[in-house]
Amino acid sequence: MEFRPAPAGGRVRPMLVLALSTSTPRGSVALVRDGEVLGRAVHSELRAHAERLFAGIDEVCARAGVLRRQIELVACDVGPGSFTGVRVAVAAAMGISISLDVPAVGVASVEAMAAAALAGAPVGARALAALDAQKDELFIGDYQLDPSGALREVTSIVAMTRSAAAPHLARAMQLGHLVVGAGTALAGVEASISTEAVTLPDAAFVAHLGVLRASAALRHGSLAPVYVRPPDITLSGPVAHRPTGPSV
Amino acid sequence: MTLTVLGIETSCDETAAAVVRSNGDVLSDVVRSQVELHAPFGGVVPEVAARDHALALPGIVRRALEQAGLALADVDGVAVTHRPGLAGALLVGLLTAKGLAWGANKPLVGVDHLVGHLLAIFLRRPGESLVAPPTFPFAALLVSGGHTAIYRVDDARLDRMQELGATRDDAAGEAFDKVAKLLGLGYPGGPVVDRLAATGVATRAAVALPRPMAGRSGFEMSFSGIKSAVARHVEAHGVPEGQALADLCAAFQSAVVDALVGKTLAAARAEGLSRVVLGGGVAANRGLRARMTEVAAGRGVEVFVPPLASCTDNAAMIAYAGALSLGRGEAAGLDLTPATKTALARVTRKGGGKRASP
Ligand SMILES: Nc1ncnc2c1ncn2[C@@H]1O[C@H](COP(=O)(O)OP(=O)(O)O)[C@@H](O)[C@H]1O
Repeated sequence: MEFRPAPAGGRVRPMLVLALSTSTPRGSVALVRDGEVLGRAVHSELRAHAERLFAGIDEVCARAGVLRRQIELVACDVGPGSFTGVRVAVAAAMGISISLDVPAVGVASVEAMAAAALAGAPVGARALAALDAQKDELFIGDYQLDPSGALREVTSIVAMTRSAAAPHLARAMQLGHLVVGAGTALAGVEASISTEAVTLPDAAFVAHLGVLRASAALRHGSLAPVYVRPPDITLSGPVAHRPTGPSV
Repeated sequence: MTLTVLGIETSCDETAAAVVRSNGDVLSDVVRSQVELHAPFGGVVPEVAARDHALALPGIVRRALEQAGLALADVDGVAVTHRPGLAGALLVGLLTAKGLAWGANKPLVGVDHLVGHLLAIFLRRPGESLVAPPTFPFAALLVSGGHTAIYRVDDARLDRMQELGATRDDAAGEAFDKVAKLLGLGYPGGPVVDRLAATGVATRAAVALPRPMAGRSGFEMSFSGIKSAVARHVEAHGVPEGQALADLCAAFQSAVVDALVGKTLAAARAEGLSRVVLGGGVAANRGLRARMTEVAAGRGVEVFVPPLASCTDNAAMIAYAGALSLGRGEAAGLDLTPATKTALARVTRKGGGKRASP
C-alpha cells in the first residue's frame, strides 16, 4: 500500500505518532504506529487548513479507535511551503504537544516527499524533491537513504529560480537520482514518480521520519518553521486593529 | 461558580498568555512585545510578526501556566483572540489554542480583541489597591495605535456593546507615532511625545494646529489633519529643537487630547451616561488622563482608568472576556476561523455623518 512507509527497523520503539502537514494546498493528518498507518485524513484547500485540521485529527483518532491521551509523539511538517500554511500545523502541533505533555518533532516538507520517493529503494539511493515556492522559484531538498532507513540531507534546502532549477534537476536525473514533487513541472522536468505522497508532502511520511528522530524531539522550546526565504517586508494596512501606515 | 481560563493573544505585535478567573482575578499575565523587531521598519510587518509569534508563543503559554501554578488540566477552558487583527498573527494564537483545547479536552472560546479591551477595567491584579469597578452602563474610549473609538457598554458581552463614533482616518496612537517619526523621535512615539509635551507650552508653539472635527456634531474623529499640519510645519521650518520642540509636542498632544476628551464626554452626555472608562495604549498618556479627569469632574462624570498593564495589549483581558463567555455557555468549535475585522456593532448615529469605510 502506498501509504505504508517501511517499518523503521528494530532499533525504534513502537510509538503512537500523530503527524500533521499543512505546508501545501494538500493538508494531511496521520496516526501511525510502528510503520502502520492507523488513520489518515486529507483535505485539499490551503485556505481551509486552519478550519479543517482538527476535524481531520478527530477523524483519524476515531477511525483508529485511539484516545488522545495515548498519543506519544507529535510529528509536524515544518516547511518549506506556504508561510502561513506551515504555521497552521506548527502552532497546532505545539498546542497539542504542551497539552498532552508529549514531545514534538519537525520534519521538512521536501524530506517527507523524498522519503515517500525512496520507500523501498536501496541504501544510498538519492532523491531531489521540489515544491512551488511562488515568485518564480522552487524549494528543493536533496536527500540520500541511510542504512538506518533515515534520510541524510545532501545539501541544505534552497529556493532556486525556475531557470536555474531546470538544468539542476535534469542533471540529477541523468545521474540516476529520483526527481520528484509538484515543483518539477514548473521547471519543465517530468517527475520520476508521481504518486500523491511524492508529489506533495504527506503526514504518513512525516510520522515515519519523526519516529526515527524521536530521541531528538523537543520537550520544551518551539518547533522552528523552515521558511528558507526571509519575510516579505510590507507594512500592515489599515484593516487590523493596529494598522501602521507605511510612511508619513 | 468561578471559572478559570487560559487566555492567548497574538493579534498584532504582542505575544501574550494569561490565566484569569471569571471574578477578574489575574493569576498570571505574560506579555512579550515585538516592538523592537518592527522598529527598524517604522510599523508592524505582518510576516515578521507571525514568525515571531510562532517561535515565542509556546514558551509564553508554559510560563503563564507555571506562574499561575496550574496545569492545563486545572483550567476550565482556553480563550483566544480570533479577531480583529493581522490574519497571519491571529492564526498562530488560534491554532495553538485549538491544540491546547483539543489535547486537554477543554472548551475553546473565541474572543473579539476589542471586547477584551472594553472589559479590561474589571481585571484585579495582585498587589493593586482595590478600586471599585464601574457599573453598567458606561461610555468607553478605546484609544491605541490601531484603534480609536467611543463605545456604549451596557453589559459584559459583545451584543451589548456598540460603537458610537470612531476615527475616520488615523488612530490617535498612530498619529503620535507618525508625528514622532517626523520629529526624529523614534518608534513608538507616544511615550516620548508625552514626556516632551509635559515640559512644553502648547500656546507658545509656532504653529497653528487644527482642532480636529471639534465643530462637528456626532462622535467621529480625525487625526490625519493634525499630523499633516505638523508635517507641513516641519517641511517649512525644519525640525524644532529644545524648548520649541517641547512646545510643538505640547501643541500636538493637546489638540489630540482635546478631541478625544471633547468627543467622549459629548457622547456620554448624549447617551445619558455618567461613567467613562479609558482603555488602549494611549490611555497611558498623562495629558489625556489629566484632562479627561478634570473636564469630566466639572460635568459630574466619573472616570475609570485601568493600570497600564491592562491598557496595552495583553491576554488577561482575553482570558477574562473568555471566562464570562464560557460561563454563558458560549464555547466555539475547533473549526473557528480568524477574521481581520471586529464583530462589534458599528452604528452611525443621528447627526454623526457617514462613517468612512474602514
Ligand atoms: N504616553 C503615551 N502617550 C501617547 N501615546 C502613547 C503613550 N504610550 C503609548 N502610546 C501609544 O500607544 C500605542 C500602543 O498601544 P497598544 O495598546 O499597545 O495598542 P496597539 O497594539 O493597538 O498599538 C502606540 O501607538 C504608542 O505610541
